[in-house]
Amino acid sequence: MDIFKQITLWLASGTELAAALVIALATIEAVVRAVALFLNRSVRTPNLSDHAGHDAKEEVRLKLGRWLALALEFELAADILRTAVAPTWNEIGQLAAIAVLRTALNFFLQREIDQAEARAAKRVAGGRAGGA
Amino acid sequence: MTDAALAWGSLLIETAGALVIGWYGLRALAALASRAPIEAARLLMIEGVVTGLSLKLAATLLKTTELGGWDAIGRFAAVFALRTLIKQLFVWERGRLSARTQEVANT
Repeated sequence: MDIFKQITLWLASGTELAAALVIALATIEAVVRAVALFLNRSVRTPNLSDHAGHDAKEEVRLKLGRWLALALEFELAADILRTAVAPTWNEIGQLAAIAVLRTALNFFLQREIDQAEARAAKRVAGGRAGGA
Repeated sequence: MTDAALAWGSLLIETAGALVIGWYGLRALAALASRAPIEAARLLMIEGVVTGLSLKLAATLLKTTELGGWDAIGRFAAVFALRTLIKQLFVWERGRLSARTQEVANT
C-alpha cells in the first residue's frame, strides 16, 4: 500500500516543481521585457507616445499575471494530490486557504485583464473617430 | 474481507486520480513547450484536475466504511466538501476561460 502513497507524493512534488519552473521562467521573461522596454524608452522617447508606453508596460504585467494563474493551477493540483495521503486537519486547512487565495488572485487578475481590454478598445474607437 | 477489498479499491482509484492529474500536468507543460497559448495550458490543467478529482471523490466515498471516531468522520466530511468545492470552482473557471478563448477567436 505504501507504494501507492509514494507515487502520489512523488507526483505532488513533480507538479510543484512544474509550478516553480513556470514562475521562474515567467519572472525572467517579465524582467527581460521590462528592461528592454526601459532601454527602448530612453533611446527614442520622442517617438513613443504616452499611451503606447503605458500599453507596453501593462502588457508585461498582465502576461506575468497570466503565467502566475497557470502556476497557481499547478500548485493547487499538487495540494489536491497531497490530501490523499492521510490528511490531517492542518493539511486540509492549508488546502482550503490556498484554494481561497488562488480564486481571489484569479478573480482580480481577470478583472484587470478585462479592464485593460476595455481601455484598449475605447482608445481604438476614439482614434477612429478622431481620424474620420 | 469486504473492508479490505474496499480499502484496496479506494486506494487504486485514488492513485488513478493522482496519475490523471500528473498526466495532464505533463501535457500542459508539453503544450507550453510547443508555444501554445497560456490559456490552452490552463484549460488542460483544469481538465486534468476535474477528471482526477472525480476519481478522488469516488475513492473518498469508498472509504466511508473504515471511518472510526468523530475525528475521522469530521476529516472525511472536510475533505469531501473541499474536493467538491474545488471541482465546482474549476468547472466554473473552465466555462469562463473557454468562453473567453472563443470570444478572442471570433474577433
